[in-house]
Amino acid sequence: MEVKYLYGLMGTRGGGAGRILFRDVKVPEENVIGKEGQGAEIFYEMMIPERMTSAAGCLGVARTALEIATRYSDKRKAFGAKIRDFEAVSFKVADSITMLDAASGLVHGAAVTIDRGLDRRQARRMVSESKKFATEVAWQVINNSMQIMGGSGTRTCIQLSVCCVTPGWP
Amino acid sequence: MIWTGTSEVMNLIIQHEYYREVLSAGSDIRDVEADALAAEAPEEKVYE
Repeated sequence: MEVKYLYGLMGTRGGGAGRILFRDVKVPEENVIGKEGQGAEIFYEMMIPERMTSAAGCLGVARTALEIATRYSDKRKAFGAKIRDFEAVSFKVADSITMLDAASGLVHGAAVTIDRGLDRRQARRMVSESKKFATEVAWQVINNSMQIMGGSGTRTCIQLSVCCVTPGWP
Repeated sequence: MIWTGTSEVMNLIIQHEYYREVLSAGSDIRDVEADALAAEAPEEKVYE
C-alpha cells in the first residue's frame, strides 16, 4: 500500500483527501468490513454523514457571511444614508436570509429523517437534496454578501474572504 | 388598496426583522476591524 499524494482542499484546513494505491494487498478475513464485493453498501451508508457535514457546514459559513455584510450595511453610508436603506441592498439581505432559512429547513428535515432511522432511501435522497441545495444557496448568499460589501468585502482581514472558499466542498 | 402580500412587501418585512435580530444580538464573530493596518486612524472609522 502506498500513499501517492495528499491533497489540500479549499476551506477544509483540518481535512483533506489523498490518493492511496493498493497493489496485491491481502486483508485478513476478520478485518473485512461488511461483505466482499459490497463496498457500495458502505458508501451508501457513509455518504450520509459526509454530505450532511457539507450541507450544514456551508449554511454556517453563509450565515456568518450574511451577518458580516448585514452589520456592515448598517454602518456604511452612501448618498447621505446607510446603504441598508436602499432596496438594492436590503432586498439582497431579505433574499439571502430567505434562502438560508429554506436550506436550513431542508437540512433539518434530512437530519430528523436520519436520526429517526426512517427509510434509508428517503434519507439518501434528502441528504443529497440538502447537500445540493445548501451548497448552492451558500454560494448565492456569500456572493450577495460580497456584493453588499463591495471592495470592502475583499479585505483579507474580513472573514468574508474566507467564506468565499468554503462552499466548494465536494 | 394596498397589496400587502406581494413579494416586495414580504422582502420589506423579512429584512426589517432580520436586521433587528442581527443588530440586537451580540455577535460571536470576532471583530476584525482591529486587524487592519492603522485601525485606529480616524479615516478608518468614517463610513460616509
